[in-house]
Amino acid sequence: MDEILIHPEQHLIRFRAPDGFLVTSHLLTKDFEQSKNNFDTPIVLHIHGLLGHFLARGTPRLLPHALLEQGVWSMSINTRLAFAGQLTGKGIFNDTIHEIDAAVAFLTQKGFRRIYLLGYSLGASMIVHWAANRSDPNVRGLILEGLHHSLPDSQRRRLEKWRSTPTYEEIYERAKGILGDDPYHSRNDETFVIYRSRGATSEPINDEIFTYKSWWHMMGPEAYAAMAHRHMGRIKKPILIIRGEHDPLIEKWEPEALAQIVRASGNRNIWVRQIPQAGHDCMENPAEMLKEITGMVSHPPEG
Amino acid sequence: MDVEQCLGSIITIPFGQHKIDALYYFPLTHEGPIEKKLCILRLHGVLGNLLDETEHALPHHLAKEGYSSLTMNTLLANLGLFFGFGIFENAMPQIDAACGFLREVGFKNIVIAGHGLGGCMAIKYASLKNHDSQPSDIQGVIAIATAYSLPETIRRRWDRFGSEPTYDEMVQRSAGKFHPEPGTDPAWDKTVVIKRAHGYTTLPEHTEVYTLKTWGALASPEAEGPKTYLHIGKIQVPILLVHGMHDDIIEPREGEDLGAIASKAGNQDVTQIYLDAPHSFEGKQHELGQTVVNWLCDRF
Repeated sequence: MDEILIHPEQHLIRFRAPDGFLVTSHLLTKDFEQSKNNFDTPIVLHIHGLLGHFLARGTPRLLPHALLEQGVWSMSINTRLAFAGQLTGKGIFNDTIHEIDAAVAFLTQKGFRRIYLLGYSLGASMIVHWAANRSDPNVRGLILEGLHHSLPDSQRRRLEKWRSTPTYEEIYERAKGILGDDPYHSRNDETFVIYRSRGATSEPINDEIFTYKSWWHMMGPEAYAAMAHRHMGRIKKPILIIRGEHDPLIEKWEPEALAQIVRASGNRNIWVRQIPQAGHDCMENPAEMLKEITGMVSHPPEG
Repeated sequence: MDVEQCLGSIITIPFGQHKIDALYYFPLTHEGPIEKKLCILRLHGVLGNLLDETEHALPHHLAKEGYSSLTMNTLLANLGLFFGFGIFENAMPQIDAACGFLREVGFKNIVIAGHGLGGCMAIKYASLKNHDSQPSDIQGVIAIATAYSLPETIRRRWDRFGSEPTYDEMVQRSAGKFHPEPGTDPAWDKTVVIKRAHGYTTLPEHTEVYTLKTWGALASPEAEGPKTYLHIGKIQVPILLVHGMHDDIIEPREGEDLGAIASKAGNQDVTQIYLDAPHSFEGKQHELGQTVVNWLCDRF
């Protein structure tokens, strides 16, 4: 078992997003002094996905500590989609832009001028949405691990593959009926289960649970914010896309297709790396993963 | 921007092939040998964000008064109830592992504490330790907003709001899943959404999610672990029961009845305190913290 016991270098910090949401965060540094000039210190801002626990598993759990051993500082944040946000209806994908705003503002307030945003899976999609709508000079680059070309398309394919109950189209029709003409402001919502959304059997581990509102904004056919391919062309920062070569969730063509969109928009600072011997979680090959990230952070191109 | 530096460190305690995540706080004001100090072992409920608003308030208060604490996530936290592995009884060995960690650190005196579901787990665990042949390091129990019987509480609440499915329907559907019959597939399980479990609407905030197995282990009539009244009488160490007078989930008489059972069983140190607070103690965290600290100071 990978053991992580007490790390004295950690700081547990809470702050509010502009809309009032409480962001919980985990800052891992060596010799962090609030008053120190952090201008030249790179820091990785790690955006969590659904589980949202700093110690859950895989990349969210292992990467910050591995980076610290390489001398790279990081801060992990929980967005409103963490801790069952998609089940309560409060986890609206589009609104996660506020948590990233707040985290970047916090780091900037602490003097950091070399911030790299790193997202894993759903977290990567959140970063793409943020970066297409924001231009902060202190953010120097994006690291996107397990990024979906389009979250809605990925889910639709997956539901068709496993013959889910209900089907993607049935969910869409039901969501339209419940949420009405203005899904974001709708006062109606309900929790529902998608059976066999991740595998051939009806075991709970193969199910997904959403509310219609959270599904609409993250997985629905009109969830434009969660469609990375619609936003990549507007990002002017350097981008590193990382995919595990055996990733069962991200198809091989997806990273390169997204990179083509970026290049076509005139941004030449885009790299795609396949991590050998890794699945959706690239920390299955920590040496290769760390090499890519520290390379990006230590020797950044001029953005 | 308002920024709050939280106290403590997030740690991982190895547990077989798995792990236990916890928030550990050892106040810098601690002086003297650690083995003479007390550590409060707090058991999280369902969600498991170690830094959320309601859960972090008590460790903060304890730390300010010089008490160490370990807040742990059990199998039931982090959506364990939704994915089939959050079985109430299986949390007990995890609590053992957390006590083992505290022993390794050097603590010889532990008070176990929980709120709501965590309170049920705390009482169940303390009752098990009281029956062990070896002396226990559990020196006290703090149960906040704790149900007399979680299955009964859930049945009453579902009946009140007209849940769909009903409690009785869930009893039928979950039969045999908690303790599978010979010859049946023990792995078979199913996710179930309960509408109108918490209120009169079908909105998500009034909805609960379980699997048949996790529900059976937590809420069915055959689930004995969460029936607090069966266990509290076995505890002989000091017990603090704190209830909110405006708790819409746990009725005040539930605390009274639990206290009466403990006293009648011969426990000489059972304290019951009622605060002007809802189930979550939102807005009353300071009073709750002070109540707990006063109780600890008077005894340890």
